[in-house]
Amino acid sequence: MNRKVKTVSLAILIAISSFVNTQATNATDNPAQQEAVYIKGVRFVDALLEKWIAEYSKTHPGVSLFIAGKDTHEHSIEVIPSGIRDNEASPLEVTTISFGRYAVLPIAGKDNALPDELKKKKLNEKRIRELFFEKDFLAEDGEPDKKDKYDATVYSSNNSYSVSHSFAGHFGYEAGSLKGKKIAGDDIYLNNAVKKDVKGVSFNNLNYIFNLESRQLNEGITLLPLDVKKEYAEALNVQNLDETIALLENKSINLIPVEELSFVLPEKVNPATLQFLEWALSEGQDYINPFGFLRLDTKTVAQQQKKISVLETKLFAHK
Amino acid sequence: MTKISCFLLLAIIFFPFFGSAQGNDVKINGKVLDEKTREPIIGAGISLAGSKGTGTASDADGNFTLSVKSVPATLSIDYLGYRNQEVDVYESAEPVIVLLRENVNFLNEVVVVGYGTQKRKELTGAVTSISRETLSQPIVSFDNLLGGAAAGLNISQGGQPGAVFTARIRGGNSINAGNEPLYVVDGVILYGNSSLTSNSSTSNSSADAIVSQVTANLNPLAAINPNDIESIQILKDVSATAIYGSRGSNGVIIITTKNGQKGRNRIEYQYAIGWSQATKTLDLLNAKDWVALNREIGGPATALSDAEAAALGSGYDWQNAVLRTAATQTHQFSFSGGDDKTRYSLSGNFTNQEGILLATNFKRYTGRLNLERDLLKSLTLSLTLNASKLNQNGLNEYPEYAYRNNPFDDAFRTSPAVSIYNPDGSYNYANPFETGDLRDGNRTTNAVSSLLNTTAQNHANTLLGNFSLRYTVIPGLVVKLAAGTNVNNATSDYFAPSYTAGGFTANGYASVGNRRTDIWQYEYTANYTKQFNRNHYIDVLAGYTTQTTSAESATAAATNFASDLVLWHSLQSGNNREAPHSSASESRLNSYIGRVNYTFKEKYNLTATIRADGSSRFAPNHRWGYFPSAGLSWNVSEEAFLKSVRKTLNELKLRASLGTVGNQEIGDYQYEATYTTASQPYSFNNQLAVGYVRSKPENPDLRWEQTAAYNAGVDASLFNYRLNITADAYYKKTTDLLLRVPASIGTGFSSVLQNAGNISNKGLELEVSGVIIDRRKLKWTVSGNIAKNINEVLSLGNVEQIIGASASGTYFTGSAAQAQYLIVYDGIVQKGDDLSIPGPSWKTAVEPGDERFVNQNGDGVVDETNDRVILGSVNPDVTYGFSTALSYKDFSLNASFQGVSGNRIYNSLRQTLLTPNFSYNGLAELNNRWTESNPSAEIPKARTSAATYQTSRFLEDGAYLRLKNVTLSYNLPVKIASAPSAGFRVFLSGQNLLTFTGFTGLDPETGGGTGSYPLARTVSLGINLSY
Repeated sequence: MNRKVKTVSLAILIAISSFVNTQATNATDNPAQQEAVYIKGVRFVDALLEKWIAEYSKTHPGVSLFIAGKDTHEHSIEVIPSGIRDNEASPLEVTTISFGRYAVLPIAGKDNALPDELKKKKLNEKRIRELFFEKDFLAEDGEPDKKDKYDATVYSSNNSYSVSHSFAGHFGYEAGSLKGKKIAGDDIYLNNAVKKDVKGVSFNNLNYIFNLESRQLNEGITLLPLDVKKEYAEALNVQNLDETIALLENKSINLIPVEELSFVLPEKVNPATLQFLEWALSEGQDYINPFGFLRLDTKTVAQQQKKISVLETKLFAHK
Repeated sequence: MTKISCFLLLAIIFFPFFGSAQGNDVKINGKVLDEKTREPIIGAGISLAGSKGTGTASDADGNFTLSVKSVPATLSIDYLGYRNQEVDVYESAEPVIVLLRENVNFLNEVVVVGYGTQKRKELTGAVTSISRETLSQPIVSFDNLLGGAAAGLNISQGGQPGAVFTARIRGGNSINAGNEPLYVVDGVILYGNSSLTSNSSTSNSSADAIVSQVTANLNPLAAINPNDIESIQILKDVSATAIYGSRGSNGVIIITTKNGQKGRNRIEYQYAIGWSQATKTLDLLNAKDWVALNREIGGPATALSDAEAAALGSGYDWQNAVLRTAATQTHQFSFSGGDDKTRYSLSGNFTNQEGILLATNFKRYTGRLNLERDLLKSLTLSLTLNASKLNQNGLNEYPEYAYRNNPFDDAFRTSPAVSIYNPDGSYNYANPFETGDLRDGNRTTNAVSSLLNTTAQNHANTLLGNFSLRYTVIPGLVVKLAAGTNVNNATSDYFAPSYTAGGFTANGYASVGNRRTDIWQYEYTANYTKQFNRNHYIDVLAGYTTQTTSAESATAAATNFASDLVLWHSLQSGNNREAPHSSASESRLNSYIGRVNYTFKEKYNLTATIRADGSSRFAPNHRWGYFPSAGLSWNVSEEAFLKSVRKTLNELKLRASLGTVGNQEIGDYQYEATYTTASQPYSFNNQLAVGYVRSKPENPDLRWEQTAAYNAGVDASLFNYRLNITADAYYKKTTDLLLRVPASIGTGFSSVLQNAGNISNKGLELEVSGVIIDRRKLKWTVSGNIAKNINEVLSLGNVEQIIGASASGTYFTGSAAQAQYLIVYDGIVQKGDDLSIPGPSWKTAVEPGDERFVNQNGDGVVDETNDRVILGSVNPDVTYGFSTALSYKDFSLNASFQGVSGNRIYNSLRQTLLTPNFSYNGLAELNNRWTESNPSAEIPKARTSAATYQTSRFLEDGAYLRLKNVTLSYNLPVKIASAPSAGFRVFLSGQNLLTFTGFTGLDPETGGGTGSYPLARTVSLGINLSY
């Protein structure tokens, strides 16, 4: 093979291999435009969305649903967990449709001695502040002259989708006010951090704390005891996902952050998306609890359904 | 196909897959942001924790990429001014978001010091930085920001827009050589208020009036747009100020303006409109009461019939007629940004500020360009240019008339029985009660007309610029060449038509003047910094600077104009022309500077400074002065024995410094004998010739005024850096005062400038700032400061006292400078009292209802020569301020207070207005004057031959607490999808809204003088748009 032929062959091969790889990585970015729903999720909700897509596709074969990548499509709906992204810039007059709730509980590693120490003096709001947050020395609950009460390392995350924001926000702080160390990556790694560090404490949402199959706590994780009513404490002590969900769906406990999960709708929403949202608020609700989330109350569901009806009316009026 | 070709083909086919699998390293992408603002942090260091690798830095968007062997990995992120953070990275698929929290620890703050910057932790001197919250207040002039903002800094504002203000850092050190601090604006040295006391052409950098009737002082510092200011540092002790040598004794205020940042283009526009009113008006007699009083003393109102008197009713309010609700508008635009090689900032400001007195105003047009360009990797060019056009219409003085100083004073004094306007709407120029100077037949003047129709204006075009080149010779060694200039071209115009008070007796008075001042400054410095094996850090500065000041001025005046229409544009039209006057001066200051900062183990810091100044203002044998200083500080909290409490006591530093600084602000040619033209020409052979007289003797021994200063201080940060405390104690002794001492009669001079006398200042300062709440949506910070200064004149050379016409020129050995030296008032003589008590020399026979004075020497006559005593000083001994910033969600509230105590103000306006007079009005308090039926009154019996003595009756406590600035702002939650960084802010702001004081005059800050321009209370609304 002479030098010229070699060069041409090389160029062709590079072009072919580049094409093959580009197609492989972009396969999901080029669906049919009609009857397509694009969803931009956050990591801890992705499993639920995948299940929804699978189930919805069974009954609506003509509709394509996609988990949108980084490049959001103009018709994408985006999951916004309230309490996490409240502080981010968002355009005015956006329409949101709530579809569920998530709860955050404080956790520690199984080998951590702190949960036992806390059994006598469980975590009330003051102790949560002392354990997790930097001291506010002039606040009424501040004790500036004392060392840290607890020998613990708090793990939290700065990532924009982390429940660190909702946990801190629930107690009136910013995530930056959380003591200790930061992790980068999905919140599931908060579990890893506390498992690795015997003095580590953190928090997580229910679907990361509990095993969705066994409905029991994930291996190596334990809950930090909260100073709540006896009946609530008993329910939490069962350390079962369904018991916990049942409790939190029916009772509002001020020490446990519970926030809504919503879809933010684009300016141009297509009929297929609205139909999917209707489904998510009806049949889709069956999968909320299995995936570790709390269902909305019926009143909120009705409000969301009404919002969708209004959007559908507008959409058809334009046509 | 060869084996090599086959291998290549396989490699190419699987290249994309190898791409990800082949390398062992994992690339971590991330972004570093400010936790609060979510703005990218540029240049943050990112490294693998525990690794000695080089790491990486965040780029202009805060992004970074770091390769690590594997995940999980722990990254360490640090950036100056932010808390260091470690992040455990578990996966590299998503970008790592690092939110850095600003380190409120002020010891980590970088402060601008003379000819450089320094970390506060390494400082040995006393330096106060004006807080960012304070600098963000929307105000017209930056001196509004300084009041109450720093311990030991006392600011007294004038009321006239654009006028000079008085600043004192740790008390006054001098009597005749000025007490104003040195201002350094972007490296250019200038004095703000050197023209305060003199209209002579020797004034340094003056944009002041040249024409004596134009009394408003145009402050050259008014050319600085407060929105352009990035930081203000107050250098207080000798360790910080010695680098300015002969000009450092009064402290130094360093102002740095904003520059662009790499990768961040920003456009900002701000508009504000405000309304101002006088902080206070005086309660004057109405017409009915004035007529009653006038009749009682036998004044011209006696001629009025009862019906005429009754018809006057309450009369006319002249005070309110000259005051108004004044509007102020400002437009501010700025554009800044930069790239890898260039940083720039361009701004423009237009301010139109009406004065609360009619016809007075201040306009400012300012443009600024700050440019920095990396010409080469090791060569950087910097340019700062500030060009301004200032226009000021002010009050005009009537020096030639008794009783009234200017139209404002005239308005207080004009009888309320006199109408302001005629029935046809024209001004009333016929005041039947005028018996003083301003009467010509039936013709008199009208205060409102005098104010509106007299022109008394200053214009100044100023250019403040600095050009520099910085070259990094080797790592750590930077040489810098800088050339700066401060050019002022100032003109003053005055025209008083024949019908106004200023031109009344002269039949029109016009005057023009101009002054050109050029200051050129060249600096050649070398700076070497090096860290040796983690234990030793040195920062060495050496340099040579030279500053040349040249000034020229000319004035001309004419009177007796045939027409009032020519204004000041045709002096040749005046029938009488005053002798023109012109002058010129030049001075030079050559200096060598040196400074060594040394830090050992981040615990022990040393600063040694020396400056040698050679000034043309002194005779050759005393031209050079040497000003050394040394400072030590000890970061105690770095010691092992404090580690156990480090969580509570985060930082603790002890400081001490000593050294000598100087003062040379006496004007030029003071050591030389000078001659001036005689007031009248000589006649030789019937020819008039200009004659010369010696105006002052030579003094070849004149030398620097020197201030030896000692300072000890402590800086502490507690409770997670949320409480910061600074305390200082100091002692300063100024020797060889440049003092005008009374000359012996045989010399033919009234006074001579000598090095004589000493003054000391000693005091304590405390500054505390705390972040009380730092929550997600709620933040509350509070700061406060208080300073006590004890001033004492230790010696006045060969005299024990210097007594001026007022306290400002009165000094006694053993007392505080600028002493109130007064006759003691001892109440009112009552019926039945011993009437043989001594009376004042002008009324020795005392009657019931008269003032009673203390005859200190018991000689039977009360007189100013023998019976005055020292009753305090005009200067406060305690100054304080506090401020608070509260933000909740999108709302923020900033408020700052300023206070002083211990000062005594002589209220001469009150004295004037409580002294009954045939022609003029007075305070309503005169209604409660002493009579036999009202013996408990505090106002003596009405009489015209009132005392002209300055007595303790009008001496008042000048203490006050003032809400100086308050701003409520709201960030509108409007977001533009295409411009997420765009911001919209609206604000409501107020200045001088509340004042708590027992002072009865117009305002304790402007003093008790007659005709002083009143201070304004202002409310403004504004909007700020940024992109």
